[in-house]
Amino acid sequence: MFLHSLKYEIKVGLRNKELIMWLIIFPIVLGTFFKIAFGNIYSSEIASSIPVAVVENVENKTFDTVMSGIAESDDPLFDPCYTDEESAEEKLKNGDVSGIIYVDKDGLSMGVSGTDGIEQSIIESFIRQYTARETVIKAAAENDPMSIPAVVEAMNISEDMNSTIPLTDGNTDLYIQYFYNLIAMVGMFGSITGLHIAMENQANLSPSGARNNVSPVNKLTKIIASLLGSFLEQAVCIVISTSYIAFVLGVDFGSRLPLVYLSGILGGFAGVSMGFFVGSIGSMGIGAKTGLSMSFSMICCALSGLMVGDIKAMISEYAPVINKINPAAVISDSFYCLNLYRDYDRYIEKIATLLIIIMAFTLGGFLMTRRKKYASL
Amino acid sequence: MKIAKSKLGVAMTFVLIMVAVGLMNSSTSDNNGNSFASTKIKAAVIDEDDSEASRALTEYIASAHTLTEVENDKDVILDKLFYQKVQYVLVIKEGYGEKLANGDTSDLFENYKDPNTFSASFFENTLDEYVAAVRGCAAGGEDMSAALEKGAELASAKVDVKIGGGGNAESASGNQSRLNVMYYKMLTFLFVAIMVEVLCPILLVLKGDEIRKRMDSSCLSRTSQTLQIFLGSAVYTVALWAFVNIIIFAMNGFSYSARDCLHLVNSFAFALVSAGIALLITSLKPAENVINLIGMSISLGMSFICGSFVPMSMLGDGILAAARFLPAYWYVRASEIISGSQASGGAYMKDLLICLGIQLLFAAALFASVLAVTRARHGRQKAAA
Repeated sequence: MFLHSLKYEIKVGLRNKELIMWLIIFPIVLGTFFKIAFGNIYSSEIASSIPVAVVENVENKTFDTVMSGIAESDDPLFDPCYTDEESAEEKLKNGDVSGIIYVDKDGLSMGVSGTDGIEQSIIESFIRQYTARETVIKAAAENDPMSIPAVVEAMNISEDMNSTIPLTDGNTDLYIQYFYNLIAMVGMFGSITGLHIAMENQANLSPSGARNNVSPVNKLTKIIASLLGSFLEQAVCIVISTSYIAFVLGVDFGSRLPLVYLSGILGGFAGVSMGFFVGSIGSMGIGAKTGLSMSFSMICCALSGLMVGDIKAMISEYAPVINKINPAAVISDSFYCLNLYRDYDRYIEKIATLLIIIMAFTLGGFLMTRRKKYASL
Repeated sequence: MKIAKSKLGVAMTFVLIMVAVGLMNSSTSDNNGNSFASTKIKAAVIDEDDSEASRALTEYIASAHTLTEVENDKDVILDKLFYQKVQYVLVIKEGYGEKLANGDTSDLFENYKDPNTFSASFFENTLDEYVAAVRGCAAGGEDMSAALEKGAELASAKVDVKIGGGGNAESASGNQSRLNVMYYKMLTFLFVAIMVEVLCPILLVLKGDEIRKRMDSSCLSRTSQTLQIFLGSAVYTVALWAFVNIIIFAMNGFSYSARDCLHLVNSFAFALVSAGIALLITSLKPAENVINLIGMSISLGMSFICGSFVPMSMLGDGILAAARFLPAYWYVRASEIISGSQASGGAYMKDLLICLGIQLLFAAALFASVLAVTRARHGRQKAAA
């Protein structure tokens, strides 16, 4: 009987083509939008030469030597363009340069278009560094001209002063978390299918529920078959959307892709079981329960960082328990652990949390739907 | 009303999400003044030397950047770097003070960072600036304590900055409340999501076969039915627009400026566009259980691509060129024009009117499409009968 129920559950699921299509189309559309929107942001944040206009109101050979040294280095910090004041301001206005360096007889100053910005701060830092060196050398020249070579030598920073300790081989692109959250959202939206399992097994909520209740099929067998059917349906949706994001959009999930699929599929199961749980609560109609389920899913996804990337980090600082029990955050964290950590400790913890969430929702749903009797319908 | 009531929870959830996201975003505040403020990197220092020199360096970093605390644990540091809670972790190695005094600048520090980013380059620039200044002063004859003090002073010296040349609205939003701008930008998500989530199910019920047949057999003409549906939708649209603006008004401390009145007009134009989107979706008669998926795809997708959640200045030219074909782009652009510090003068008003006009044209095109789709469907139904 179980296999018979499972077969028909899968058939019913497959006939709901519009829902399946949208569960697949939705991440494909959003994933494509995310890729378009975020594809270049990280690479634009990677340091390249900063375009800067240089307006020399007086000749300064030392400055010219320093600037040409920077521009001709292997990894130049600045891409200078020597020009007059009017044209430099025009370039700044059009966004062709990030800032202007004015070389006057009183020293260097800077022109910018806004009131902040990292590129502008780097230009400011360069001017300060140049001015500081000039000041120190001038002071040495005044106090003890013989010390100038030693001062210049001392101010040369050795290349191995500061070495970087590598932390991970994974993808450190911050914007990848939007894709994690997108897959988590697909999983959470599986609650729509889970909701129908509960609705179609409660006689007071749907005509098919009434028919199912008078049939001689064991209720538990029927519900388990329905849940398994929905799990399979949701797993297919997750596999297709994850494959699209990983292979078509080329999002780098790290080297452990099979486990990424596993996390996504378990996330889908968590969504279905959550929908089953919500659908089993009370005698509200399908509209109200869909509303409740969607609201909960949206809140979980928003708290997981679907709209603001660093919201999860803020929550982990002020209320870490929310991140530990929010299914969307747990799904997205499991992807994060696979991408960045070499060991499996944290990943296993996340998967265990997901399994507990699935079991808790499923058991809660069972407890609420079992042994129900209807005096009249 | 019954259907609308059942969807009230979802609508309120979206509003709550907007308020929470806006508050979270506003907490990451940038410079709001009118003078140039150097970017401060979120940095952490792990001092393994604990000498006078290392403490002086930590003090200098605290004055130049935003110093945060971090445990000396690689996993914790990785978490913090990934979520940008810290952008640079500097480890001052044991023997730093001694080496600096001896003029040896090799192997002084170690660091954890997201490589090749401007923030890392900037931090390293300031570090080089400080070490070079301290070393220069010491080589010039100052004793180490004086060199440390003078080095920090030189590395923090003020640079003469001239602000001008137009600039983008994102960095020039200055005196406009950051929170306010954030809320208004997020309306692209909120309006479309709520309109689709709440208005579509109501209209789908009215367009259901049985109700449609009952209405067709009544004495009401089809034009009158359509007009009443449009009017009902208009009431709902105005109510939603007013409700959201009252919330922003309340969040703003019940004070409104002339700019906020322009935001009101702009948000109303986008509310009309959102109503048009909801009506168009309804006219295509999707299944009720996929409406929220359609709504999410459109609202989130359009918001991300048009710069509601990510500043327009960070999106590439190609993306912005494509976004011009979406109404949300013109709404966000109008919001940025209104919020910009150069928000005065004829050119500003002309740009703003263009943005508003394009939004209204989008709304008109959407309403016309609704009428065309409805008429085509009705024609097909008649032919089938």
